[in-house]
Order: sequence, then C-alpha cells, then structure tokens
Amino acid sequence: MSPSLEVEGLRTEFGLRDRVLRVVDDVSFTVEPGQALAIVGESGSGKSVAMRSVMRLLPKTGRIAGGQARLGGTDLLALSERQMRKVRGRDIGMVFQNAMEALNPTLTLERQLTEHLKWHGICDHAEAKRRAVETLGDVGIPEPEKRIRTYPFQLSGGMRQRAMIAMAMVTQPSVLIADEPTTAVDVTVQRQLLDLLAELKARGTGIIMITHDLGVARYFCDDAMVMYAGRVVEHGPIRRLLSRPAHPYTTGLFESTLEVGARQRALLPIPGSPPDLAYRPTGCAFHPRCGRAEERCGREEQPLLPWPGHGEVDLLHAGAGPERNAERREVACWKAVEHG
Amino acid sequence: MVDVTVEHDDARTGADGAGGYLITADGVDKVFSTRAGDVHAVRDVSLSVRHGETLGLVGESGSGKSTMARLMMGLMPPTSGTITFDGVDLSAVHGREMRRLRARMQMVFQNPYGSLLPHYSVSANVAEPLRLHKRGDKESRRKRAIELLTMVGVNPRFADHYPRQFSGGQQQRVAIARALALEPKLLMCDEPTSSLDVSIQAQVLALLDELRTSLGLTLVFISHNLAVVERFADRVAVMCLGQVVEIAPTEVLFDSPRHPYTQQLLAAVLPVTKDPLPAPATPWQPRAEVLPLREVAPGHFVREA
Amino acid sequence: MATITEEPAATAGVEAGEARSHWSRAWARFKANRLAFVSLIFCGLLIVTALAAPWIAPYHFSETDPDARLAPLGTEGHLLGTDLLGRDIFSRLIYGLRTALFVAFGAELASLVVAILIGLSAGYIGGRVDQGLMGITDVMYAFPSYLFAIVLVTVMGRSLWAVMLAIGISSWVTQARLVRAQVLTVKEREYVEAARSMGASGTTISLRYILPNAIGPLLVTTSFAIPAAIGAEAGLALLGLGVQPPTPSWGSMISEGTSYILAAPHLLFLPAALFALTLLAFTWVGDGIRDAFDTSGEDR
Repeated sequence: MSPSLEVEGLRTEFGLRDRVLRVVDDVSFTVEPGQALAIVGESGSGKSVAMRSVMRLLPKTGRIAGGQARLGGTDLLALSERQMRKVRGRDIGMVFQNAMEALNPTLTLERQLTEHLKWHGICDHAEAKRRAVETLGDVGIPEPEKRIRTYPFQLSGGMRQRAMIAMAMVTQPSVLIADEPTTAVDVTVQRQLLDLLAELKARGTGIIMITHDLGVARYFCDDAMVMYAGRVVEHGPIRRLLSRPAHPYTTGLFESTLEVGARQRALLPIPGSPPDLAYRPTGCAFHPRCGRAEERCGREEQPLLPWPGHGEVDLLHAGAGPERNAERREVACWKAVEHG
Repeated sequence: MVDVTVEHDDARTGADGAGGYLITADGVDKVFSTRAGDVHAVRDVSLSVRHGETLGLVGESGSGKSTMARLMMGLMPPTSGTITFDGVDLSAVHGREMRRLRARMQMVFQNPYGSLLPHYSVSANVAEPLRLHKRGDKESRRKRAIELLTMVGVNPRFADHYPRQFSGGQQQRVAIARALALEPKLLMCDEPTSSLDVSIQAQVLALLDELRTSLGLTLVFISHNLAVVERFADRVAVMCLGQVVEIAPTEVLFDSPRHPYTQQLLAAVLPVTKDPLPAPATPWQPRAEVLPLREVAPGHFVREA
Repeated sequence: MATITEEPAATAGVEAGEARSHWSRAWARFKANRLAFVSLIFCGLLIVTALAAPWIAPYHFSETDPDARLAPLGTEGHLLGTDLLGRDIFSRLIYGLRTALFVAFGAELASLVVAILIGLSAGYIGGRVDQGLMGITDVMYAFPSYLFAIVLVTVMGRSLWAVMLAIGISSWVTQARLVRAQVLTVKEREYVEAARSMGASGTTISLRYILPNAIGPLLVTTSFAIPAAIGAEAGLALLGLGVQPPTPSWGSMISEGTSYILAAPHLLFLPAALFALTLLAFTWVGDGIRDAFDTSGEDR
C-alpha cells in the first residue's frame, strides 16, 4: 500500500524587488492512496505554485515559508535538495499541460523512460527497457517496441501526452501531480487520457489534478479543493460540492461554466477578475466580487470551517456510507457557515 | 476534388434564397504546400451565414476551422472555390478595394494580448483601424475610441494605458472594441474566450451576446468548446479533417446528431452536473475520399460516413 | 506591475498605476542602473566635447610650438604636455575623440540604415528577395573585415570616409541578419495578422507594426557596436590604415607614444587611458540598454 501525502499549513512566498507576496497561504490537504484530489482555481489562485512547492520545484524568487508535506513519514519540505531529487520521479511523479516542454526533444523515448528507472536504481537496463516498453503499451501507444526509438517531436500531440504520462508512470510513484494534463489536447483525446490516469489510480497511486475544468474534476476526482487568491475557500467531495456549492466563489465558478445540454441554465458571470496578489483585498479576498458580501466580509479573515455548520446535516447526502475523513466539507465563508 | 452535388448546393442557398446571406463559401479547398508535401487543410467546404445570424464552427485542432476563418476574411486565397461577401466575390477584388471590404468584416482573435499592438496605448489600438482607413481626424478618432471602450466595459480612465497593463479579459474587451471601430457587419470570432479564465470567459461571452443584439452583428463563432457554441450559435457546422461533416440548427445538432464524428465529439464532453454519455465502442475512422453531403431534414446536412 | 482588472476589483484597492509605454519603462530601468546612468552622463560629456572641440581645445591639432617639444605634464600653456613636434596633447586628445566618435557614430548609423533596409525587405517580403539579399549578406560576412579595410583604404586613400566605410561595412552584415531574424519573429505575431484584417497595406505593416517591435534588440547590438567601432578606428590607425595625419587619432597617438615610452611616457598613457575609459563607458551604457530591454523576470 502506498503512503498518503499529507500537506499541512503550506505557505509559499515570492520575493519581488520591493516586497514579498504570499502566493500560497495556509494550504492543507491529504491525498490517500487510490484517491484523486482536484485543485480548482483560476490563474493566480496559487494552485500550481502549491504543487510546485510540494515538488520543491519553485523558481529562484520563490520560497517555502512554512508548513509540512509528509509522504509516508518524511517531511518533503525538510529534505535536502539531494534527498529531494531521489523523491522526485520515484515517489512523486508529475505530468504537465504541455508535453513538449516536459519531454527532452534531444533524447529518444527509450532514453527518457529507462534513465528514469536507472537514476533511482530501481532496476538494470534490460529490465528498465522491458518496463518502458510495457508502460508505453499501457498508455495506448501502438507498437511500443518500435515507438520507443522515436523522438518526442515525431509523435502527435495526443501521443506525446501519453508518452509523458508513461514517463511519470514507469516508476510507479505513490503520488502523481497532474497540472492541467488535458487542457492542451482535444476533447476526444481528453477522456482517453483521463481513463489512462484512472488505471493508475486503481493501482493505488494518489493523484492530485490541477484543473480549471469542473467537468474534468467531476469525471476524474473524488475530492476537490477550490483555491482563490492563494487560499483554500472550499474543500470537500467533488459531487457534493458541485450539487450544492457552499462558497459564493464556487457558486460563481459553477454558474460561469457552460454545459452542453443545459441551454436553459442561466450564464451568470462573476463580475470583476481575480485580484492582483500585490493588492490582496482585506478580509475575504473574494468579497469585492461577491454578490452576497457584507461589511463584515471585508473586515474579517475567513478561516476554513466545517460545513454545514452548527450541527446541521447535509440532507442531500446524509448517511452516504461509512465515515470517511474526506466526507467532511469545509468552507471559508462565515455566511455559508452561519446561514447554510 | 470539388464535389458539387445537388444536395450540398442546397446548403448554400437554403430557404431564404441567396439574397439573405452576408457571407457564402462555395466548394472551398485550401492546400498548403510544405516541404513535407501538400497539406489539404480545407476540403470542399460550403457554408453560408445569413444577415444577423451566428454560425458556430466547431472542430478539434487540425480540423481546418481557423483556416476557414482566414479564408472567409480574405486573408488568404482559397486554392479553389469561391467566397462571396455581401455579393462580392473576394477573389475578384484587390488592393484598395479589398481593404475597403475588410473594414466590413472584422476579426477577434484567441490571444488578445498578441493581437493588440504592444507599443500603442489601448485607445490608440482601438483608433488604429479608423486611422488606417483615414476616417476623421486625430481628435475625433480618439473620441470614438473612448466611446467604444466605454461600450465594451473598459473604464475610459485607462484609455492611455498600454495593453500589457490590462488583465486578459480586459484585453479581449479592448480587442472587441477595436474590431467594432469600423462598424463591421461581420464579426469573425476565432476562439475568443479560450485563453481566458472561466469567470472571465462568461463575462466576454455575455458582452458579445449583448453587442450582437444591439448592433445587429452577423457572427461566425469558432470554438472547440461545444458548450459555448451551443449557447451562442443559431446554426452549427462541425468540421473534421478539413471537411464539414454536419451542419444543422443548434438544437437539432445537439439533440439529434447524425454524423458519427459529431456523436463522438458530444460523447467526449464531460458535464458538470451529469455523468458523461457512454463513449462509442469503436471510434469513427475518417475516410480518405470526400463523400457527399446530404440533407436529412430541412437545413440539416450530414456528410456520408 | 499592477494589472487593470474589472471595476469592482479596481475599486477594492487595485491600483492600475500610470500609463507607461514600452520606452518609458525601459528608460526607468536604465536609470535605476547606476553604473550605466553615470556612464551615459560621461558619454554625453564626451559627445559634447567632441562636437565643441574647436572651441574647447586651446590649439589646433596641427599647430606646433617649436620651443616646447616633448614638454612634460603641467607645462605652462600645455597642461598635458606636447609631442615630438610640439603639438598640444590636450588639444590632440580632444580632436582624437572627435575623430573616434565621428567614425564610430557615422559608421554605425550608416550600417543601421543599410541593415534595416536589407533585413526588413528580406524578412518581410521573403522568398526570392530574401534569398538574394541574404546571399549577398553571407558573402560579405565571409570576407575578412580587416582585409576589406586595407582594400578600401588603398583605393580611397586614408580619409575619414574610407575608415568610416571600412568599419560600417563589416558591421551592417550582422545587424541585417539580426533585423531579418527579428522581423521573421514579429511577422508571425497575431497583431500583424490583426492589422491585415483591419485593412493595413504592406508598407504600413512593415514600418508601423513590425519595425518598432523589432528594434529593441537592434538598439542593444548598436550600443555595443559603437565601442567596438571606436576600438576598430584606433586599431586601423595603429596599423597605419587610419585617418591621414595630421588629423589626430588615438590609435596613431598610442603608436607614436610607444616610441618615447621612456622619455615621455604620458604620450602613450594619456591617449591609452582616455581610450580605455571611453570604451568602458560606452560598453556600460550598452549593458544598461540591454538590461533595460530584457523583460525576462517581469510579467510580460
């Protein structure tokens, strides 16, 4: 059984010329083996930075200012760079939006897939090659024995994306971070890629999927964490979250999303745009765009609190099975907590 | 290669008769010659857009939808076939006359920042088409630019700022204002919201919706996002590998798609409130030859598969 | 850099800052670079001195004082001494500066004009025009520049113009290639297509849309080409291929100075020091310009 990834109180800051920006602020979550967590948010919400902090792949100006990321008892944030290098690729894999920037254009797939295994001392060359071919076959690349000798640019976009997933899969990591893995591909390919990742999930890998697409999140993930301006505003099982969003921002995202076959559903854009972190609004960062905002929202910071609050029962899903930790919902909005 | 059957001729004329159309493409082919050989980007496409109508053009990457947009804008000549805008054959006009015609068909691009001039302020960007067509003097052009910016919801206070200082959504508003400066009849929107965040996408769509009604615009709306097209278009054409495989009124196309590719595309959509449709057991394999387009119901054309 | 967003956010404390063009941002970054800024002031002073040489220099560069040959530093009337023929060193340094800057700026300006014409035509028109123009450019590139200078000076004589031409010719080739490469990149930008869709003509597009956006890197290479040209002028003079004496050039002054290094070391060291200082200042200005236009690490 793979260990789970537990992130607690993660804070990441970026140093600009004249000030420090807190890009990720007090983010906590757990990814259990075989579970998938969606991190949903718009550009600038801190979702990618949070994941790069866990991977310790921040640009030079970035700094982890606090928190822990425990993977089977080790705190990744406390490891030396040398130790961390052993974790990356072996224990935590990563899949990017654009395979072209993640694959080395000067190496064949064989080199890229097997080197990975050899660096981490997982197996010898013959075994590595066997596994590489097998993984390429697993991700649906036809004639893997032949294709393994090709260079990334010789593959089509969808095949390249598959090759990248193969690269992340070959070491059988405990956790896979997928950063918008299907945004750059066509819809017909999207579902195939997600089904591929689902197999990995079924084998016990915990998956974190960064996405702005609620449909993808619903299809693939168990839980969702909605981020806004560097903080978590809502966290809970994805289906419940979508059937009854608690935070006004989640509601807004839902109402801004068009859906095929729902012509009658009103399109209600959220006014304004996500804040520039250098000018983060006081209190709840969403209050300037929120239709339900009151004076209190701009005054008080909003902590994540259990929802429904005050002993209320989420009627829709009462008794939905054995008590699982992830059944809990949390929301950072006093109005939602007090008034449901 | 051009396959003018009786059936697909109907796609062009339709019920209103030829007079009701603002722009018409008839049997258009486009071949790009590259070092690796010829690429047939558009094959035998016949489309027509009525005055005041919004035509949605959907397809995946490489379907030829963006090439089709550029052909309809007269930005490149078709290899064969004709494109008629407001009764004028685009291949018959050149130089100054062509440029005058272009004033009546404007384009909104996918990447607003890339399509705005970085070294011009936003008001100068909006005034640029007026300047190119020598409309008014500097003062009146600026005044008009500010009117247009206000119309699309950009605060005129920021008229002298530069595009890079704006967020993506605001940049796209500026690009829309610029496209409207010459009071065009046709607005060609090539993935106008694809590069924007979800909440901003909805704002820009709402703006375009409002403008097309108030200004009586004819729109060609190109997108890979089926939900957006369903909401926005009156009629939809589905493109695959350079061909139009199906054209129908929006509701018909989404409720009873006939072509296997359209069905496959719709099944690939992952809904937010429902479970997705089952994926087809065997994906549709496109055929090398161009098969004829048939009218299966009034206004509903499907290519043989 | 703050971003202008929708109204509600803007009223909630997003300050959009002032409207600032590309150039004013670059200038702000340049000013913040102290070394570059001080160097720019120094270069400005050098240029003013060169322009005002006839009024600043106490003597004409060829005026001899037979009573004060090889006068040392601090001599009455010749503060920096005189050379073998009794010519005032201070005056000759100032006129030498005039020669250096005239040649360098003249050569670079001419090469810039030629480079823009050729690079823009090749890049924008493309096809046969591109092949033809770049063919010529490649031939010129393969030709050793000093050899070219020797040929030119032999044919045209040792004049200021010949030296300018010799330096300019070796410089436009790289510049033209750079312009072409820039044009090819900018040409693919969406705003160029947007301009076409608005009905802009080819000339308008190349001059108003492509050129201004292709010029940044060109300005950087030009700012580095100027000290290089100053060096080249001195180098040619040192080889005896520079301007015709008695017109002073730092190169020929250094070359003369080496013969009297023991008797009158200032003949060598003064022009050498001024030469080095000028070169450094111009190079630092170039560094500043490069950094000012380098937007990596900024939002866009």
